[in-house]
Amino acid sequence: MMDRLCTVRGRQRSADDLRSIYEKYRDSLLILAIALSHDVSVAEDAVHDVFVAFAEHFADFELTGSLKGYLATCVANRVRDLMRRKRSQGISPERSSSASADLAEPSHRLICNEELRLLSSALAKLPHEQREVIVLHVHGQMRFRVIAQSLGISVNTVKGRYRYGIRKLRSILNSEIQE
Amino acid sequence: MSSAEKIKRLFAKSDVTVSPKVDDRIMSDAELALGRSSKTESVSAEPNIWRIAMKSRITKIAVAAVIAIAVLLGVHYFGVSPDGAGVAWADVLENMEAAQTVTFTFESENEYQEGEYSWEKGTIMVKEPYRRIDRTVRLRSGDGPTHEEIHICIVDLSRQNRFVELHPSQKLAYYAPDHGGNDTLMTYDGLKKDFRDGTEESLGTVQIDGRQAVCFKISRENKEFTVWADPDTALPIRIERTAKEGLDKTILTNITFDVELDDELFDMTPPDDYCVMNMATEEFKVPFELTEAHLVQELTTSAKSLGGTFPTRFGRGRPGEDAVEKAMAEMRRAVPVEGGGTPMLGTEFLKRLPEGSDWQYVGEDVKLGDATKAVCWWKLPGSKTYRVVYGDLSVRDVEPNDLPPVPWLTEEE
Repeated sequence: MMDRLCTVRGRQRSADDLRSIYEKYRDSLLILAIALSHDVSVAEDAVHDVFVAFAEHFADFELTGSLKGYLATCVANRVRDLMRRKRSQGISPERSSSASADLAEPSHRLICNEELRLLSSALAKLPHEQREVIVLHVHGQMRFRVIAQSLGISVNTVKGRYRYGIRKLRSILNSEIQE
Repeated sequence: MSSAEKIKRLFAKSDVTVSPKVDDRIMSDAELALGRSSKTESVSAEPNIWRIAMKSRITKIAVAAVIAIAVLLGVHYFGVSPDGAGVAWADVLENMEAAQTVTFTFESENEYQEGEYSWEKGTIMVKEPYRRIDRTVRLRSGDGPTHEEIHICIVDLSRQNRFVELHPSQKLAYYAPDHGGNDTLMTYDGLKKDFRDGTEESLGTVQIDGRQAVCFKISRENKEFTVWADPDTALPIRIERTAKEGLDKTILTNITFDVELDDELFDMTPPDDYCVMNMATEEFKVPFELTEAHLVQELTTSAKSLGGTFPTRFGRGRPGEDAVEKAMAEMRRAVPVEGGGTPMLGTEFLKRLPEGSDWQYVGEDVKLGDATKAVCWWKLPGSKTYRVVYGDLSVRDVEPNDLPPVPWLTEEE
């Protein structure tokens, strides 16, 4: 319903519509952002920034594809920007990665369950480009072609990153997942 | 269970508990943003379709060109020696890699997206981490006319692929501080990874451009590279890339290594008298005061490009999907107008009008030269009259009660 709303240009879109979209996609986008960043504060900021930007254009926003895919791509882009900013401020990825135990810290505003912590830890060991493609494809349910378009790279590059990433995850997960 | 299945299962079971503080923070800021956008809508909220088209087209061309060049230069990472010829593939790779600078001429032809064709010819200078491309680009959309542009594009691969593209004839520069998304694609590491699966084949000694050369062929997924190298220096003298399917061909010739290239060639600062658009923020720096004359000029150019009829929408206009589709169709068939001046200054003039200027566009189907029909208007705060642009491009002061009705605004009321 909300997705259809966004395919029609209209002034009747309200704050309630915006809230409905937020409630529908919030958890999925936060999981995506945590999986990409391995950092709950980055994840919260990314989803926050994307929804604020989305709200700014909500009245005139015209959807041409999947709203979930659109928001997922925006969150992925924002996570990349925020992580890059952190790095430029001298906060190393290693320092972020070491905070994996904090994903379950009750004092946080976002608390991850065990599966998400395990997933995020495993993905954190991959280069960001591979992680991004895996998360968008598996969790965002985006086709390789759509990911390629949104990232501005070729489909073959996307497939390559996915293949390499999955291959690396095999060894990581084999040691961490008890079936 | 495969790794992909494990990942899918983990995602399916993943959950996050969200504090109400997070919801409050996100939704209160989003609602504020929504409120702000509603208030400013009358002036600038609606994206300008011509601006989007320009930005999109320029970005795609710039990206396509840079990727093509990076890919072509990336062949030296294929890294497998062929057997046979006196000059081995490894020799060619080693010599290329040792070079500090390279220049070459290029010609390319491709369908960069469905129905959109480009032909390019120019010279490229590489001095790590910079690329400078001086080129003539010809663009054609569908069966439309061909439009030719001359650009100078400089890319800095070390800083998120930031680039500047200069259009000397219009004194216009597009600047992108961060191309985003392509962090490794255009770096050698990314290419190394992407092309590791390439297969190399020596085709022995052949004649090319009236001289002898050793030839190598590399097949990579849907592309085929052919490299001709000088048998004495083991440096490439010609490189071709063709797509196995579709239209995509690039030829590099006049390849010269280790030439002296002045740093000034790669200075990314646009000249002071250029209008500069930041493509990340869409901010437009204009080195002079914008006036309604700029608006009139852009309206004129838009109408001429559509055969003498003003566009359906110009920043604003009739709402609705059919209006947007009609405007997009107009954009596709628009004929470039020679001497049309710097694009987008008119929309920038409107964007900079003070809040409350009540800007409206009603030019749909109005003929250029029609002095009886209004095209657009605005009213500066404090003024009792509107400034109205008519189809004959005259600009007159009009009392509010004398403005023509705007159907979609009347319906809303």
